[in-house]
Amino acid sequence: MKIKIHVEFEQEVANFYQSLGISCGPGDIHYRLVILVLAKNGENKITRFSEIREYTDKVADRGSIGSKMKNIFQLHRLVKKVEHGGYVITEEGLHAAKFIKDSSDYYNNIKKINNMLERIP
Amino acid sequence: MEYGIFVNIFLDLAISLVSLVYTITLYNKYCDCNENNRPTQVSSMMIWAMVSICFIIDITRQLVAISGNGTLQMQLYLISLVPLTLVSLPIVFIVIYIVSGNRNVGIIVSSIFLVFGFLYIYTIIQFGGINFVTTSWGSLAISNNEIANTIFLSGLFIVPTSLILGLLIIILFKRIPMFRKHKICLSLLSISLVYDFLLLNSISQTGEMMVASKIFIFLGVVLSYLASFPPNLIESRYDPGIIVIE
Repeated sequence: MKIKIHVEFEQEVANFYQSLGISCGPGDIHYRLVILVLAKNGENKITRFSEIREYTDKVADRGSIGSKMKNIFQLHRLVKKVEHGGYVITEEGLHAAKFIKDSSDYYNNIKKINNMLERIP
Repeated sequence: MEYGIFVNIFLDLAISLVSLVYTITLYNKYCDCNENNRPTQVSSMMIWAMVSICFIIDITRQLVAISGNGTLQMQLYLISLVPLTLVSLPIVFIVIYIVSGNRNVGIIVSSIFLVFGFLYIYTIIQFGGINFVTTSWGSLAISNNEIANTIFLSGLFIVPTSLILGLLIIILFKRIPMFRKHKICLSLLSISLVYDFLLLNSISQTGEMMVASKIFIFLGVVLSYLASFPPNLIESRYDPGIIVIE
Protein backbone atom coordinates (compact mmCIF):
# COMPACT_ATOMS: atom_id res chain seq x y z
CA MET A 1 0.00 0.00 0.00
CA LYS A 2 1.50 3.33 -1.04
CA ILE A 3 0.82 5.72 1.81
CA LYS A 4 1.73 9.34 2.46
CA ILE A 5 1.01 10.54 5.97
CA HIS A 6 0.04 14.14 6.68
CA VAL A 7 -0.61 14.63 10.37
CA GLU A 8 -2.73 17.78 9.86
CA PHE A 9 -4.94 16.05 7.32
CA GLU A 10 -5.36 12.97 9.51
CA GLN A 11 -6.29 15.26 12.39
CA GLU A 12 -8.90 16.93 10.17
CA VAL A 13 -10.36 13.55 9.17
CA ALA A 14 -10.39 12.36 12.79
CA ASN A 15 -12.18 15.54 13.86
CA PHE A 16 -14.78 14.96 11.12
CA TYR A 17 -15.50 11.43 12.36
CA GLN A 18 -15.59 12.64 15.96
CA SER A 19 -18.22 15.18 14.89
CA LEU A 20 -20.27 12.20 13.68
CA GLY A 21 -19.96 10.60 17.11
CA ILE A 22 -17.28 8.10 16.00
CA SER A 23 -14.51 8.61 18.51
CA CYS A 24 -12.73 5.27 18.08
CA GLY A 25 -11.03 3.92 14.95
CA PRO A 26 -11.46 6.50 12.17
CA GLY A 27 -12.22 9.21 14.72
CA ASP A 28 -9.10 8.52 16.80
CA ILE A 29 -6.06 10.41 15.54
CA HIS A 30 -3.64 8.14 17.45
CA TYR A 31 -5.16 5.01 15.91
CA ARG A 32 -5.09 6.55 12.44
CA LEU A 33 -1.43 7.57 12.61
CA VAL A 34 -0.18 4.32 14.15
CA ILE A 35 -1.97 2.04 11.66
CA LEU A 36 -0.90 4.19 8.71
CA VAL A 37 2.78 4.17 9.77
CA LEU A 38 2.63 0.39 10.19
CA ALA A 39 0.89 -0.06 6.81
CA LYS A 40 3.39 2.26 5.14
CA ASN A 41 6.22 -0.07 6.13
CA GLY A 42 4.22 -3.14 5.10
CA GLU A 43 4.09 -6.62 6.56
CA ASN A 44 7.68 -7.54 5.75
CA LYS A 45 9.37 -4.68 7.51
CA ILE A 46 9.74 -4.00 11.20
CA THR A 47 8.31 -0.67 12.29
CA ARG A 48 10.24 0.95 15.14
CA PHE A 49 8.34 2.68 17.92
CA SER A 50 10.50 5.74 17.31
CA GLU A 51 9.26 5.80 13.72
CA ILE A 52 5.65 5.84 14.95
CA ARG A 53 6.52 8.62 17.40
CA GLU A 54 7.85 10.78 14.59
CA TYR A 55 4.23 11.29 13.60
CA THR A 56 2.39 10.85 16.89
CA ASP A 57 4.57 13.21 18.94
CA LYS A 58 2.80 16.16 17.30
CA VAL A 59 -0.57 15.06 18.69
CA ALA A 60 0.06 12.75 21.65
CA ASP A 61 2.54 11.94 24.40
CA ARG A 62 4.70 8.84 24.36
CA GLY A 63 2.82 7.06 27.15
CA SER A 64 -0.58 7.17 25.52
CA ILE A 65 0.78 5.75 22.28
CA GLY A 66 2.62 3.00 24.16
CA SER A 67 -0.53 1.97 25.98
CA LYS A 68 -2.54 2.11 22.75
CA MET A 69 -0.03 -0.20 21.08
CA LYS A 70 -0.52 -2.70 23.88
CA ASN A 71 -4.26 -2.37 24.58
CA ILE A 72 -5.57 -2.01 21.06
CA PHE A 73 -3.06 -3.00 18.42
CA GLN A 74 -1.45 -5.98 20.15
CA LEU A 75 -4.60 -7.11 21.96
CA HIS A 76 -6.64 -7.22 18.74
CA ARG A 77 -3.73 -8.75 16.82
CA LEU A 78 -3.35 -5.87 14.43
CA VAL A 79 0.40 -5.94 15.08
CA LYS A 80 2.94 -8.45 16.31
CA LYS A 81 5.68 -7.34 18.66
CA VAL A 82 8.79 -8.95 17.20
CA GLU A 83 11.43 -7.27 19.34
CA HIS A 84 11.78 -4.53 21.94
CA GLY A 85 10.19 -1.44 20.31
CA GLY A 86 9.69 -3.24 17.00
CA TYR A 87 6.33 -4.18 15.47
CA VAL A 88 5.11 -5.86 12.29
CA ILE A 89 1.61 -5.35 10.90
CA THR A 90 -0.60 -8.44 10.54
CA GLU A 91 -3.23 -9.25 7.91
CA GLU A 92 -5.94 -7.85 10.22
CA GLY A 93 -3.85 -4.74 10.61
CA LEU A 94 -3.67 -4.34 6.84
CA HIS A 95 -7.47 -4.62 6.67
CA ALA A 96 -7.71 -1.93 9.34
CA ALA A 97 -5.27 0.28 7.41
CA LYS A 98 -7.32 -0.17 4.24
CA PHE A 99 -10.43 0.83 6.17
CA ILE A 100 -8.67 3.95 7.50
CA LYS A 101 -7.57 4.85 3.95
CA ASP A 102 -11.15 4.39 2.73
CA SER A 103 -12.39 6.58 5.57
CA SER A 104 -10.08 9.36 4.28
CA ASP A 105 -11.52 8.94 0.78
CA TYR A 106 -15.04 9.13 2.18
CA TYR A 107 -14.12 12.30 4.07
CA ASN A 108 -12.66 13.82 0.88
CA ASN A 109 -15.83 12.96 -1.00
CA ILE A 110 -18.06 14.54 1.67
CA LYS A 111 -15.81 17.61 1.78
CA LYS A 112 -16.00 17.95 -2.00
CA ILE A 113 -19.80 17.84 -1.95
CA ASN A 114 -19.97 20.31 0.93
CA ASN A 115 -17.63 22.72 -0.86
CA MET A 116 -19.74 22.39 -4.00
CA LEU A 117 -22.94 23.10 -2.08
CA GLU A 118 -21.31 26.06 -0.36
CA ARG A 119 -20.94 27.69 -3.78
CA ILE A 120 -24.68 27.56 -4.33
CA PRO A 121 -26.52 30.37 -2.57
CA MET B 1 -55.88 44.58 -34.52
CA GLU B 2 -55.59 40.94 -33.47
CA TYR B 3 -55.90 39.89 -29.84
CA GLY B 4 -52.94 37.54 -30.31
CA ILE B 5 -50.54 40.48 -30.39
CA PHE B 6 -51.91 41.67 -27.04
CA VAL B 7 -51.45 38.17 -25.58
CA ASN B 8 -47.88 38.19 -26.90
CA ILE B 9 -47.13 41.63 -25.46
CA PHE B 10 -48.78 40.69 -22.17
CA LEU B 11 -46.58 37.57 -21.93
CA ASP B 12 -43.48 39.65 -22.73
CA LEU B 13 -44.47 42.13 -20.03
CA ALA B 14 -45.15 39.39 -17.48
CA ILE B 15 -41.80 37.67 -18.16
CA SER B 16 -39.81 40.91 -18.02
CA LEU B 17 -41.53 42.06 -14.82
CA VAL B 18 -41.17 38.75 -12.98
CA SER B 19 -37.52 38.48 -14.07
CA LEU B 20 -36.86 42.04 -12.98
CA VAL B 21 -38.49 41.50 -9.58
CA TYR B 22 -36.52 38.26 -9.22
CA THR B 23 -33.26 40.06 -10.09
CA ILE B 24 -34.00 42.79 -7.53
CA THR B 25 -34.86 40.20 -4.86
CA LEU B 26 -31.62 38.34 -5.58
CA TYR B 27 -29.75 41.64 -5.33
CA ASN B 28 -31.35 42.34 -1.94
CA LYS B 29 -30.27 38.89 -0.75
CA TYR B 30 -26.71 39.47 -1.98
CA CYS B 31 -25.48 40.70 1.39
CA ASP B 32 -26.51 37.37 2.98
CA CYS B 33 -24.10 35.52 0.69
CA ASN B 34 -20.61 34.48 1.73
CA GLU B 35 -17.37 34.71 -0.23
CA ASN B 36 -17.93 31.30 -1.85
CA ASN B 37 -21.44 31.71 -3.22
CA ARG B 38 -21.27 35.37 -4.21
CA PRO B 39 -20.12 34.65 -7.81
CA THR B 40 -23.04 32.23 -8.26
CA GLN B 41 -25.48 34.81 -6.90
CA VAL B 42 -24.11 37.52 -9.23
CA SER B 43 -24.36 35.13 -12.19
CA SER B 44 -27.96 34.28 -11.30
CA MET B 45 -28.74 37.99 -11.15
CA MET B 46 -27.14 38.43 -14.58
CA ILE B 47 -29.19 35.59 -16.10
CA TRP B 48 -32.52 37.01 -14.94
CA ALA B 49 -31.57 40.60 -15.71
CA MET B 50 -30.71 39.59 -19.27
CA VAL B 51 -33.94 37.65 -19.66
CA SER B 52 -35.77 40.75 -18.47
CA ILE B 53 -33.87 43.07 -20.85
CA CYS B 54 -34.43 40.66 -23.73
CA PHE B 55 -38.19 40.76 -23.24
CA ILE B 56 -38.34 44.52 -22.66
CA ILE B 57 -36.70 44.93 -26.08
CA ASP B 58 -39.13 42.35 -27.50
CA ILE B 59 -42.12 44.39 -26.22
CA THR B 60 -40.73 47.44 -28.01
CA ARG B 61 -40.15 45.39 -31.16
CA GLN B 62 -43.70 44.06 -31.12
CA LEU B 63 -45.05 47.59 -30.72
CA VAL B 64 -42.83 48.82 -33.57
CA ALA B 65 -44.09 45.90 -35.69
CA ILE B 66 -47.65 47.15 -35.22
CA SER B 67 -46.61 50.55 -36.56
CA GLY B 68 -44.86 48.78 -39.47
CA ASN B 69 -41.38 50.36 -39.19
CA GLY B 70 -39.13 47.61 -40.60
CA THR B 71 -35.75 49.33 -40.09
CA LEU B 72 -36.37 50.08 -36.43
CA GLN B 73 -37.64 46.54 -35.95
CA MET B 74 -34.38 45.15 -37.37
CA GLN B 75 -32.34 47.43 -35.13
CA LEU B 76 -34.30 46.36 -32.06
CA TYR B 77 -33.92 42.71 -33.05
CA LEU B 78 -30.14 43.12 -33.29
CA ILE B 79 -30.06 44.83 -29.88
CA SER B 80 -32.14 41.99 -28.39
CA LEU B 81 -29.56 39.48 -29.66
CA VAL B 82 -26.97 40.91 -27.26
CA PRO B 83 -28.75 39.85 -24.01
CA LEU B 84 -29.97 36.68 -25.73
CA THR B 85 -26.48 35.47 -26.56
CA LEU B 86 -24.99 36.77 -23.32
CA VAL B 87 -27.35 34.62 -21.20
CA SER B 88 -25.17 31.61 -21.95
CA LEU B 89 -22.15 33.20 -20.22
CA PRO B 90 -23.44 33.27 -16.62
CA ILE B 91 -25.06 29.85 -17.13
CA VAL B 92 -21.75 28.30 -18.13
CA PHE B 93 -19.93 30.23 -15.39
CA ILE B 94 -22.33 28.96 -12.71
CA VAL B 95 -21.87 25.32 -13.70
CA ILE B 96 -18.09 25.51 -14.06
CA TYR B 97 -17.65 27.51 -10.85
CA ILE B 98 -19.87 25.19 -8.78
CA VAL B 99 -18.11 22.07 -10.04
CA SER B 100 -14.49 23.29 -10.10
CA GLY B 101 -14.57 25.95 -7.40
CA ASN B 102 -12.20 28.06 -9.48
CA ARG B 103 -13.52 31.48 -10.45
CA ASN B 104 -10.90 32.00 -13.16
CA VAL B 105 -11.65 28.70 -14.90
CA GLY B 106 -15.33 29.71 -14.94
CA ILE B 107 -14.49 33.08 -16.48
CA ILE B 108 -12.20 31.55 -19.12
CA VAL B 109 -14.68 28.86 -20.17
CA SER B 110 -17.61 31.28 -20.31
CA SER B 111 -15.48 33.68 -22.40
CA ILE B 112 -15.52 31.04 -25.15
CA PHE B 113 -19.28 31.53 -25.34
CA LEU B 114 -18.75 35.26 -25.61
CA VAL B 115 -16.84 34.49 -28.82
CA PHE B 116 -19.72 32.31 -30.05
CA GLY B 117 -22.20 35.08 -29.23
CA PHE B 118 -20.08 37.65 -31.04
CA LEU B 119 -19.74 35.35 -34.07
CA TYR B 120 -23.51 34.80 -34.14
CA ILE B 121 -24.32 38.53 -34.09
CA TYR B 122 -21.53 39.24 -36.59
CA THR B 123 -22.84 36.64 -39.09
CA ILE B 124 -26.35 38.05 -38.82
CA ILE B 125 -25.13 41.62 -39.39
CA GLN B 126 -22.76 40.55 -42.17
CA PHE B 127 -24.88 38.03 -44.08
CA GLY B 128 -28.40 39.08 -43.06
CA GLY B 129 -31.10 36.51 -43.75
CA ILE B 130 -33.57 37.76 -41.15
CA ASN B 131 -37.14 38.16 -42.36
CA PHE B 132 -39.86 39.69 -40.23
CA VAL B 133 -43.27 38.12 -40.59
CA THR B 134 -46.25 39.65 -38.83
CA THR B 135 -48.75 37.01 -37.79
CA SER B 136 -51.91 37.24 -35.72
CA TRP B 137 -49.72 36.46 -32.66
CA GLY B 138 -47.15 39.17 -33.29
CA SER B 139 -43.97 39.79 -35.21
CA LEU B 140 -41.69 36.85 -35.91
CA ALA B 141 -38.03 37.05 -36.86
CA ILE B 142 -37.36 34.10 -39.15
CA SER B 143 -33.70 33.40 -39.72
CA ASN B 144 -32.63 31.92 -43.06
CA ASN B 145 -28.97 32.39 -42.23
CA GLU B 146 -27.66 28.82 -42.05
CA ILE B 147 -24.24 29.77 -40.62
CA ALA B 148 -25.81 31.84 -37.84
CA ASN B 149 -28.31 29.08 -37.05
CA THR B 150 -25.53 26.51 -36.82
CA ILE B 151 -23.45 28.72 -34.49
CA PHE B 152 -26.55 29.42 -32.45
CA LEU B 153 -27.58 25.81 -31.97
CA SER B 154 -24.21 24.10 -31.68
CA GLY B 155 -22.30 26.85 -29.88
CA LEU B 156 -24.83 28.60 -27.73
CA PHE B 157 -27.50 25.98 -27.15
CA ILE B 158 -26.15 22.43 -26.82
CA VAL B 159 -23.18 22.98 -24.49
CA PRO B 160 -24.80 25.23 -21.83
CA THR B 161 -27.92 23.03 -21.73
CA SER B 162 -25.82 19.88 -21.37
CA LEU B 163 -23.76 21.52 -18.62
CA ILE B 164 -26.87 22.44 -16.63
CA LEU B 165 -28.40 18.99 -17.04
CA GLY B 166 -25.07 17.40 -16.08
CA LEU B 167 -24.90 19.44 -12.87
CA LEU B 168 -28.55 18.59 -12.19
CA ILE B 169 -27.77 14.87 -12.41
CA ILE B 170 -24.71 15.26 -10.16
CA ILE B 171 -26.81 17.04 -7.49
CA LEU B 172 -29.67 14.52 -7.84
CA PHE B 173 -27.42 11.59 -7.03
CA LYS B 174 -25.67 13.23 -4.07
CA ARG B 175 -26.86 12.57 -0.55
CA ILE B 176 -27.90 16.02 0.60
CA PRO B 177 -30.91 17.23 2.59
CA MET B 178 -34.10 16.96 0.53
CA PHE B 179 -35.13 20.58 0.91
CA ARG B 180 -31.72 21.78 -0.29
CA LYS B 181 -31.86 19.30 -3.16
CA HIS B 182 -35.35 20.52 -4.07
CA LYS B 183 -34.19 24.15 -4.15
CA ILE B 184 -31.05 23.51 -6.19
CA CYS B 185 -32.63 21.09 -8.67
CA LEU B 186 -35.68 23.27 -9.25
CA SER B 187 -33.43 26.30 -9.83
CA LEU B 188 -31.32 24.40 -12.36
CA LEU B 189 -34.36 22.90 -14.04
CA SER B 190 -36.01 26.30 -14.39
CA ILE B 191 -32.82 27.89 -15.80
CA SER B 192 -32.67 25.04 -18.31
CA LEU B 193 -36.37 25.45 -19.15
CA VAL B 194 -36.07 29.21 -19.63
CA TYR B 195 -32.88 28.93 -21.66
CA ASP B 196 -34.26 26.20 -23.94
CA PHE B 197 -37.48 28.04 -24.66
CA LEU B 198 -35.66 31.35 -25.01
CA LEU B 199 -33.76 29.82 -27.89
CA LEU B 200 -36.85 28.08 -29.27
CA ASN B 201 -38.66 31.42 -29.12
CA SER B 202 -35.95 33.07 -31.20
CA ILE B 203 -36.00 30.39 -33.91
CA SER B 204 -39.77 29.80 -33.91
CA GLN B 205 -41.33 29.63 -37.35
CA THR B 206 -44.97 30.20 -36.39
CA GLY B 207 -46.79 32.61 -34.10
CA GLU B 208 -48.28 29.77 -32.03
CA MET B 209 -44.83 28.33 -31.42
CA MET B 210 -43.56 31.73 -30.29
CA VAL B 211 -46.42 32.25 -27.84
CA ALA B 212 -46.14 28.67 -26.52
CA SER B 213 -42.38 29.24 -25.93
CA LYS B 214 -43.14 32.45 -24.06
CA ILE B 215 -45.65 30.66 -21.84
CA PHE B 216 -42.97 28.11 -20.92
CA ILE B 217 -40.43 30.87 -20.32
CA PHE B 218 -42.90 32.55 -17.97
CA LEU B 219 -43.47 29.26 -16.15
CA GLY B 220 -39.69 28.79 -15.91
CA VAL B 221 -39.14 32.24 -14.40
CA VAL B 222 -41.94 31.69 -11.86
CA LEU B 223 -40.55 28.23 -11.03
CA SER B 224 -37.10 29.68 -10.50
CA TYR B 225 -38.48 32.35 -8.19
CA LEU B 226 -40.34 29.68 -6.22
CA ALA B 227 -37.18 27.58 -6.06
CA SER B 228 -35.14 30.42 -4.55
CA PHE B 229 -37.91 31.68 -2.29
CA PRO B 230 -40.11 28.66 -1.62
CA PRO B 231 -43.59 29.25 -0.20
CA ASN B 232 -44.37 28.04 3.34
CA LEU B 233 -46.38 25.13 1.96
CA ILE B 234 -43.29 23.61 0.31
CA GLU B 235 -41.04 24.45 3.24
CA SER B 236 -43.38 22.80 5.75
CA ARG B 237 -43.47 19.66 3.63
CA TYR B 238 -39.75 19.14 4.14
CA ASP B 239 -39.61 20.53 7.67
CA PRO B 240 -42.87 19.58 9.39
CA GLY B 241 -41.96 21.39 12.60
CA ILE B 242 -40.79 18.43 14.68
CA ILE B 243 -40.24 19.47 18.29
CA VAL B 244 -36.71 18.61 19.38
CA ILE B 245 -36.32 17.42 22.99
CA GLU B 246 -32.95 18.51 24.33
